Amino acid sequence: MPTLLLLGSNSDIGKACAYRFAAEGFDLLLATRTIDEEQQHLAADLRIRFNIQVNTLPFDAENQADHSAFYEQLPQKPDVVLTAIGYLGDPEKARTNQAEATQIINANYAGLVPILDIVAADMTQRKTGTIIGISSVAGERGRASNYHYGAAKAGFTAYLSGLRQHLRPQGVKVITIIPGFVRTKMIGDLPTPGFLTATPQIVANTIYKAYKQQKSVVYTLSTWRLIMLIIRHIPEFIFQRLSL
Amino acid sequence: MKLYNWGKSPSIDARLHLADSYSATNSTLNQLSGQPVIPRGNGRCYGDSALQKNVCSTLKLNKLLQLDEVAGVVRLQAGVLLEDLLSVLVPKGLFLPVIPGTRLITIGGAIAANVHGKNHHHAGAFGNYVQSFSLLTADGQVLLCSRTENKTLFKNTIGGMGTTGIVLEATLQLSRIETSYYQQQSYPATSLSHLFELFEQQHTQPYLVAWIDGLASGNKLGRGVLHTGKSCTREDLESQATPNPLQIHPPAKLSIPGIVPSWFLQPIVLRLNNGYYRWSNRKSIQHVKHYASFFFPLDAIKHWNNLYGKKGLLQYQFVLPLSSSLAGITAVLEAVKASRLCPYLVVLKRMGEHAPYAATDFPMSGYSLAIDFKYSPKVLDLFHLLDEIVIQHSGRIYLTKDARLPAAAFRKMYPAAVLHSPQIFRSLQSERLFDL
Repeated sequence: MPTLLLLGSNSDIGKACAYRFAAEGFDLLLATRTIDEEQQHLAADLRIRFNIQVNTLPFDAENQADHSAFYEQLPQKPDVVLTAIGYLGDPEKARTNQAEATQIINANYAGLVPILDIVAADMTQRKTGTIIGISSVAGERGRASNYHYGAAKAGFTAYLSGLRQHLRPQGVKVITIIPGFVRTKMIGDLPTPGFLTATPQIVANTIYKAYKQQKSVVYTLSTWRLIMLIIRHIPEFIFQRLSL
Repeated sequence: MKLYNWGKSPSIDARLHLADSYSATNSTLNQLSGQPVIPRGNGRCYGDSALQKNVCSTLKLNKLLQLDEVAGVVRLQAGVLLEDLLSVLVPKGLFLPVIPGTRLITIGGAIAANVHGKNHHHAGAFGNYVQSFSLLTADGQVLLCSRTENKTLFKNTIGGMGTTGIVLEATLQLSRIETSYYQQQSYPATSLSHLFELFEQQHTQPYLVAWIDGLASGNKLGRGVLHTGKSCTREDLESQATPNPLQIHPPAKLSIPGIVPSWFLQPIVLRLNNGYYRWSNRKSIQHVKHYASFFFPLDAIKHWNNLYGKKGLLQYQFVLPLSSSLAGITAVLEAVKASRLCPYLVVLKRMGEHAPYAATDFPMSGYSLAIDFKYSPKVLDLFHLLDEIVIQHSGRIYLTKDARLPAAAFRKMYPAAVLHSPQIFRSLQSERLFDL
């Protein structure tokens, strides 16, 4: 049975992906900052429903020094690695609070690079594997409303793009998932337009399909591809005057 | 948001709190700081049992925690739907010993209503198979309740209509099946007393339920068809073309939109009643049915309550002790007939000896009748009349189906009923029944 390493198994998208891949017979390595009662319940439920192996492992993206030990101690090496870690943070607070800004940058970009570098090296050696990173439409162009988050996601998108080019000859696939609005605890009660808002299950389906078809860059809800195409091409002298 | 249950009335503006962990459930209670709240599962009770301005939904507590296939025991969270659980159990040859008429209810709801099925005379109610549960009480404690620990709380929660606290998880005893199919035999009865005779003759069959032609009158009053059933063995299935003896239920394919006018169903029901009786009357029919159509015929159609139109339906389900069942049910059917209201579906069940649980728990040894009506003010008048007949015959109505029972009638039907933490856990129904 193939194995999925899921980084960020406590996020709503992470949980939905756990069920989606479990339904396809994947064994799961669930990694999140703290393995609480809820994570153990999630693991038990997945084991009973799908007759698969599920391990829960503590992993903290911000604790970069431990990434190498974390990966070495995995009970088995994964065939697919999926990062569903993300932190929107408080964009207003981040403007003046360095700790908040740093946390946003670490959780969405800087903290993901070390572990994925380690995964990439291992998969290169094994000449097989798939890395799936969840970025965001926010990374397509920096906006006043959340530019620390957007910048970190932009960095992550660029990193995945480069990694894809680098690993292609090694037979390792890198997939970038670019969701728009998703109905998760990250956006909470924020009102968003229904036709642009996906559920975690829709995102999980998109991700599994992208994996199955070995796609490179996939937007969840394809309307977003068009919207972001337009937004990217608005001339800067106009864009800086907009409130988006 | 607008919240209502399966019968569609009443409906209220409510805040639905969806907690996905035990700690989140606890903090929901804390945040409400003393405002009344009622736990809610899938909202399949008919009236106002699961309604309150603040409602704590267990639907996200939907994890299976432990399954011991050898002992046949499962530990699971309160928000798991029976439908979900069965799809895991059936392929392993395991099943629930008590199955109600819909698979779209939660474990927590099944405990709170102490639901019963067509085998109550044989197996009792759902509560008999609950080994233990953990309950979040009004003071924020989580208590493990069983027949040996916190015994009183255990007893008062089963059939307690959610008024003792929020069930977080439960441990259930399961039963074993060789196949997921049932052998059903049908016997037509020309009158109510004939139907009762058939029930007593077939008493050894594990599953018994009768459909009654609610439109018949005079010496045909209470005519109907008794269905008996038992689980098929592998051997029973050999003659059938069933590739998988442990097939799970198919998803519902049909769904009724919420725009059906309220006059839609009546002419169809009138024709069906007569036709169905004549068709069943030609011979006693035996056939093999999958558990989905044997237990949950109505689940094949999503939102079937929409067939009753915007205002929905009212169901009157009551139980009478064995000695007064025939007289009482005759009187009820006569009162329905005299009202000239159309009974859409009439179902009779035999209930057996019943272990004592909460003071609001429904079953007792005797007969239980359920009658569905389209909502109308006249139906409410009829129900008052029926209350009197039921009280006269020492019976009671099923609170899970109730949306209108007056407090005075309730006290006569359930004289020992009390609220356990009246300030915190109470539904609109408790406020009505206890005059709060």
